[in-house]
Amino acid sequence: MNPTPMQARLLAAALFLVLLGLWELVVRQWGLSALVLPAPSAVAQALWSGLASGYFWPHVRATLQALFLGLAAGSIVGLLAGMALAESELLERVLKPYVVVSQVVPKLALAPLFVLWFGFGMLPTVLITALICFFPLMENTLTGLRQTDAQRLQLFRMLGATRLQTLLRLKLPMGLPPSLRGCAWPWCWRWSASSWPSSWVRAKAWAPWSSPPRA
Amino acid sequence: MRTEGATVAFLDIEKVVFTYPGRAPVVDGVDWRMQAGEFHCLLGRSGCGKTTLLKLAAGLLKPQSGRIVLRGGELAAPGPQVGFMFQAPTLLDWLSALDNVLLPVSLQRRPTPQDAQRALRLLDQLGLASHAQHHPRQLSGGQQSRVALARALVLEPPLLLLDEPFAALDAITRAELQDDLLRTCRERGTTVLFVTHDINEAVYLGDRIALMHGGRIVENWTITLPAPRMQAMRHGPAFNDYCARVRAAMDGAGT
Ligand SMILES: Nc1ncnc2c1ncn2[C@@H]1O[C@H](COP(=O)(O)OP(=O)(O)OP(=O)(O)O)[C@@H](O)[C@H]1O
Ligand SMILES: [Mg+2]
Repeated sequence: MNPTPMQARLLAAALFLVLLGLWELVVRQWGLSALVLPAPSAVAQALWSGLASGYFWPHVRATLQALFLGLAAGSIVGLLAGMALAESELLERVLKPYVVVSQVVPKLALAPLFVLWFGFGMLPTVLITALICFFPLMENTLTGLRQTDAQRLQLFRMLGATRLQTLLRLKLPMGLPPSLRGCAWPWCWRWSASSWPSSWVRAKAWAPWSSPPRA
Repeated sequence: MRTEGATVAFLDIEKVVFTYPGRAPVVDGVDWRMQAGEFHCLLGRSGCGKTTLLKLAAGLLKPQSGRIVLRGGELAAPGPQVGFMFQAPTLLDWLSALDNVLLPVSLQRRPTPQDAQRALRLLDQLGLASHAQHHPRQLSGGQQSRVALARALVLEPPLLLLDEPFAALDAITRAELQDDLLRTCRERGTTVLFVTHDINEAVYLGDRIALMHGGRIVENWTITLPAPRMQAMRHGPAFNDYCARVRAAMDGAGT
């Protein structure tokens, strides 16, 4: 039996309810203290009262702000780094080992250090978020740009395209998943100019194609 | 080989050898000259090195020895002065058919409305007027290869290198496009090197035919059928005589 996507979603939702129910049941049955494991009903109640009294809102805003800034910074830097490494063998050889090693360091372990260096403000949070999304974006950009097929590269060579044109008008769109290629590109590249400042702006404005970073 | 050797050829392929790493030479000492405005067909069985020779002529591959001379100067790098059509359509599937045709223009400069008009006219000529806004995914194989042909023609290059452009088409469409191509090239004085494995097509289109086998040009013919070719000629004795001779040579080369 093959469930339809709708059925699959319903099943997932049902499973969620069952798990919540189990959790509630376990807490009540064993009489666990809220300090050890609060029941879902208690969590919901606390959440509601926090939201209703307005106590949570400034914190939610700060968290979202940090998240958004970190995501943007990490994505842009990851994207640019991926493009640079994809375009230059030398850069890749020299820098890739460091990038990989830096990934082995658990990011959260850096939190106390960052707080020490940058204080308690927004900056350390943004930096850690940026660090977390930097790597997947760089890696995906690098592999995406490298998988352009030889025939289309020859086509661009035949048409006398510059390196930048080949990057922006062939490798970048080829690296996107087909669904995005189809919807984002036609209007984006329609009569797209060969002048590069405007192309550059477009490349930056365009949504990153990688899977969302696991934050 | 040719008597007018004193004049400078438009495209001169001189003793060209090309080898993919770790294999026997794929193009093994080819000499070929083309005068401006001539239409040459390169004929040969699958795997004999036609595509490789065409890419050498375009500058996409560098010969290990020998040289390619285009209009008196050695060919340094490929460029839009040569119209090249790959054996596979090689379209960009995120662009419409029209934008694919305009790609060679838009890589040089911002396309003008006249460019768009020229591209549309080309698509119309190739029977694709109603598909201009469609994406390659929505086109049949033959339609895709016609878009690729329009893309090779849009800059009106003085030299066209076409790799089996009509292989994916039915006989009737193919005959129409052959006449179209001949007329367009005659009007513009385009020099064409046309790869095919269809003897009929080679005799119909070519002023000259080169037969390739095992990386060498083993045989060549000058076709002296009357100049504007007509479909009716296909049934004439002269035409069939050429076909029979080429066929016999191909059979002979195979053994
Ligand atoms: N990239 C490559 N690497 C190694 N060998 C190759 C490569 N491309 C082609 N060859 C070999 O070179 C030979 C000639 O190939 P080519 O594509 O020129 O043949 P062709 O005459 O165009 O054939 P067809 O009519 O089937 O297109 C073939 O034997 C093929 O195996
Ligand atoms: Mg071929």
